[in-house]
Amino acid sequence: MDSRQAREILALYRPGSTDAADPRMAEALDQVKRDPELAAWFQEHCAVYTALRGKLKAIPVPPGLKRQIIVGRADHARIIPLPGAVKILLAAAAIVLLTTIVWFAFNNVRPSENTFALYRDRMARSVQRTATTYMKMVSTSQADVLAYFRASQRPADFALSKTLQQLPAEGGSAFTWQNHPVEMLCLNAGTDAAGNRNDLWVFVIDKNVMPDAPGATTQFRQVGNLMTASWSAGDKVYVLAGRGTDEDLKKYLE
Amino acid sequence: MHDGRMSDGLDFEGLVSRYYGPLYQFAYSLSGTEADASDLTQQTFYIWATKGHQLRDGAKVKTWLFTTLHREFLNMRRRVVRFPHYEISEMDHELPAVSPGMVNTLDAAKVVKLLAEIAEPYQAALTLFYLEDCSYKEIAEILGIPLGTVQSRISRGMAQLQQLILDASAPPPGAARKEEPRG
Repeated sequence: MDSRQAREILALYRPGSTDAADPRMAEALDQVKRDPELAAWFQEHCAVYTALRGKLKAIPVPPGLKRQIIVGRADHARIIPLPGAVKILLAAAAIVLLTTIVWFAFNNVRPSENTFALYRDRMARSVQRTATTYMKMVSTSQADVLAYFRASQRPADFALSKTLQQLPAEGGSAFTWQNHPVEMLCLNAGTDAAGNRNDLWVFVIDKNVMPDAPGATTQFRQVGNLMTASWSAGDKVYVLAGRGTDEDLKKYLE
Repeated sequence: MHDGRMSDGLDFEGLVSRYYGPLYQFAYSLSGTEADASDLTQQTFYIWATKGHQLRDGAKVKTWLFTTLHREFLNMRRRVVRFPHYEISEMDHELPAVSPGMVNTLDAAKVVKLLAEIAEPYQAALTLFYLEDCSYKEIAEILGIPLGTVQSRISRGMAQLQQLILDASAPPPGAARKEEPRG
């Protein structure tokens, strides 16, 4: 091995790693001992590597991230082992389901898809599963949350009622549902008579991806323990979710 | 309940404690934004919580997590492209002469910004090269590419990064003129 070959190999050498154990690296390292020019280059290479590694290792990790992961896992990813008999029943149910799907496919009959209902239910259920809703932006200012949406290249020109606009924010998140951008604004509507927090969540999605969404007239639907109000305005579809009845939500739409 | 416990005795929380930082730094180096990096890191652990029990070899947890994060990143970008395989011997470039001093003038954010300017196929390999104590074999497994391709991507990525560092360290146009003797 000559110095040129050794230099090519050592360009991939990482000081402090197990790279030296590689036979080709070991041979190249031997060449360093024999060639002062190569040794000078190698010293510089190691110093640059260490400096760059140090820069990347200095990337700060958000302090709340670990907790979000653990809380999110407890919320979303609880897997309960099932007894054998239940597994057999589930397998049988899967076969029945598969047969039904095949039957529909062969008879060219498709169950009607209610895209909006899926979306609304998914959004409402996502915030009621845990007391700690995951929010990427936490602020009591609606303006801050809207600025966060704009910074995330998301729309922020929401047509909300004056009552909703006047509520302090809790935070917000920009995420996707079935690859479609969704903005979630969480608002603080105070506490109820029992002293429980009364948060409201507004979900906004492009109307073009929700052909079966309600029109300008608000539709109310109970989803789990939340009431939802849904309507369209302009090019957006809004879903407002909160505790209480449809009458309670109507107060926020005025 | 599956608690993500592996052969080394780590439960889910232990696993998060050990790997969320390195995974976040990898994600941040790839995506360049805190929001995307946080999402990618959380999504990786979410997938672990639902599918991690399928992994039988506890020694592969780290590789599994980085592989999953990288795949999620590619899904996010939706730009999965197959790139040709170059051997090191095919490369015709020399590494630019970057000194440690030049690197030290840059902060971490600037280095990440420069990394983002590198051609995408080289980016992940180079990030793992600098950031993680992965062997080349592990990097190949994480990225799902042959070992030779890993080495060529790192070499080419390194050349691009060092050129970018040189450019970033170069004095602005006109700065040199001021020092030129007059008359």
